[in-house]
Amino acid sequence: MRHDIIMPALGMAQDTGTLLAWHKSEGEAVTQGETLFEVETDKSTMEVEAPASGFLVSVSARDGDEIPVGQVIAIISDTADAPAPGETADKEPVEAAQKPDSLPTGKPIIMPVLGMSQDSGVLVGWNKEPGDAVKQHDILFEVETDKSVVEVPAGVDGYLAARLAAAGDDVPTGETIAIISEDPVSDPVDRAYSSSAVPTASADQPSVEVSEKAPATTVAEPAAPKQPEVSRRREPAPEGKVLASPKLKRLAHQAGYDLAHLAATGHPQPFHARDFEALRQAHEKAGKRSEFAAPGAVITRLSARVSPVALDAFLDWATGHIESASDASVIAAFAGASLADQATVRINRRGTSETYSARQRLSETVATEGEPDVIIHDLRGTFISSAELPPESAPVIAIVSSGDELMLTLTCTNALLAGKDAAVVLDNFAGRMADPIRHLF
Amino acid sequence: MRKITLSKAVNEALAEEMRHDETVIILGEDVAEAGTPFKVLSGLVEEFGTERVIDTPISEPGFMGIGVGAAMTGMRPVVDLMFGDFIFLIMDQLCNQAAKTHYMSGGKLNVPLVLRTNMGATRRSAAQHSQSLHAIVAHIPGLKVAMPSSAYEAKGLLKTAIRDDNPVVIFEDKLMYQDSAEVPEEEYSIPFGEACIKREGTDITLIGTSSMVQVCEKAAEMLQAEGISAEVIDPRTIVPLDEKTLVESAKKTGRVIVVDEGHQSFGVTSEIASRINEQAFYHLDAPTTRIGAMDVPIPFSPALEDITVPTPERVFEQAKKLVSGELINAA
Repeated sequence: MRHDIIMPALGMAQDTGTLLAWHKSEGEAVTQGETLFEVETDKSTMEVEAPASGFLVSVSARDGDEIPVGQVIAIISDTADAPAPGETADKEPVEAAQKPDSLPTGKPIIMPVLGMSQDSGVLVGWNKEPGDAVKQHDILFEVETDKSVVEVPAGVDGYLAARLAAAGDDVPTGETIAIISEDPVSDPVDRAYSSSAVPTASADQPSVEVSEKAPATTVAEPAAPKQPEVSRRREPAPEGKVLASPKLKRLAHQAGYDLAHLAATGHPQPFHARDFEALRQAHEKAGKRSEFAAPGAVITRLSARVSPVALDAFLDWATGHIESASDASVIAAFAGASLADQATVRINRRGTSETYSARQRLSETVATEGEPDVIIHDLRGTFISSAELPPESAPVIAIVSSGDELMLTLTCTNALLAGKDAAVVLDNFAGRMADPIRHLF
Repeated sequence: MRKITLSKAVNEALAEEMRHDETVIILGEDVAEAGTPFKVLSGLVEEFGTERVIDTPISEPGFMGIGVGAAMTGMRPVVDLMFGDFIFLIMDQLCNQAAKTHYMSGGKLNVPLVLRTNMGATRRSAAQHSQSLHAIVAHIPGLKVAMPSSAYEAKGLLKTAIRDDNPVVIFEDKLMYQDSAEVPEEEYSIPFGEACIKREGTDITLIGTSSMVQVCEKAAEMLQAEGISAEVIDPRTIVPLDEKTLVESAKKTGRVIVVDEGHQSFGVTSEIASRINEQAFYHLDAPTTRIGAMDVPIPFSPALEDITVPTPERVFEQAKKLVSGELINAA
């Protein structure tokens, strides 16, 4: 088992720490919890303990060095020998493994952690050429994170002895990407980032890395299956309630539409402003059907059979003796009188529609306009032998010839005419049709 | 236009105002030599000296009290509070003294003080250095509260704050100090109470404060890929709040998500959502929803910390639900 010893982050805004002194020397046996070294930050001095027992090897920092946070400065190994480059580490192979002997010596410059939950940074470009002299505050390179592009200063005076990543390389944070030497170098290294020695952020991550990435994966997951907008998940409305947004309610109110009409069509709830067109259509449809016959209303149907003989004789006499009388006005008078002392009756016959103000006296029953109190469909003389027409804005009575008889069928809703009243009305009307002389009394 | 970091923008605003007005001074811990832990003030002590850039002992109530007194007697102090979390240490000086002095003196005294502090999580700074506590001071009448969302706003709002005759608290997101944005060379200031429409849209309004503006902008990009047009608005100051711009946008799109890094309960998201519900109710096509930090101490664990505060993915998912007309909380 091998443990990397890194420069810890001890302060709130600490980028580097100064190694004050090692308490152990290379090759020495250490016990977990023993003080390994002392670090000075801009705030305080702290002792750093050994995270495990073993031997302190591969010490790469000296007393007085200023070291970036996160950089490996030594290893605790099971043996007193430095580990072979290929040996598996707890976390990652250390820099020793990725830095062949050919690299110049100097201060390693790492890919810094700049953003939230940043695993790697893209090297945008170098501001210094290999071999250039650099000052501590000179901008050495630019890094792009998921948030922004940041300029990174050299942090130390010296010479750019090695560039270990090229523009465009995505380099895990903490990886060495440059070396700044104290003295000029004759043949500075310049190459692209090599991930061979270090696992990069990919699917087959070791478990340590996966736990770091877990949150990002979790939140990104729901976004993966692109759901088209039409597949909106909507739930059935609670019993008897219409669920609609305040905006649609306002639009409906302003237009005079009733959301119940839309609900009756089974349109999925909740309704939103985008459902306004469907609401308008539902409203128009409902208006055509009947503003009285709301869906689900109880419809009363009553039928009566009468002989046409007396009626036919009476119509012959009436149209011959009363100036204003016609078949239609006489039947309208019978129907109106069956309903009330005075009523408006519409008669539909052979494609024409006439409306009468019906009075007891046949001569006073005259054509009028307006909404009818009862609607008659006079289908005598057609091939239709049975008719049950739905109620409209008023009770409907269909008159058809059925064999030798006339069939009178009244349809209405409770709102128009209660059941018992409907029976009285139809019985009255049928009586007058069967025996017109009753009308006179 | 040149790009500078938010840190540099704050530094420039202070330097400009200190050159204009010799009553402008800086007070706080590690503000002079150290230039604050975030190096925001680097170089100011060299130009203005230790008489005007004053390192104080580690006593927040002490230097805040000095700042309030200095402001009452003719100075324009900019008090630096190293972490927003330390605001609890100066509540009396800020909320009982600075906020109320003008009112209680019948207008005879002013407190032209700026408190510069920070907010923001996901810096692995644990529960006592990661809070976003702006809602707490926004609750107190007499304090103005600015929340810059980029280097441009940071400079313009700070200059307005320094010139304001009332106490102003500025919350900078400590994760944004190294973020760059376009900032003009010439001087400018941004008036308080003027929201900025960062992106125009028609289907949904995303209101974000501070770094949440970036979260909203990312979410808007993701929504655009789905054919949803999102409007992104940055109120820039939460006191005073530009209600008009927010309400008009709500009326236009009919759907609003308010995103803020403070804890969700009793916070800025709740306040803005309430005002929208009150003033745009009959134009809303979906419930106005809030996305704030979870109501837990900010965890130290990176895995937990990252999902405690609002993410673009959460805003995106919520926006899709609202735009698609999914039934939300209708039971």
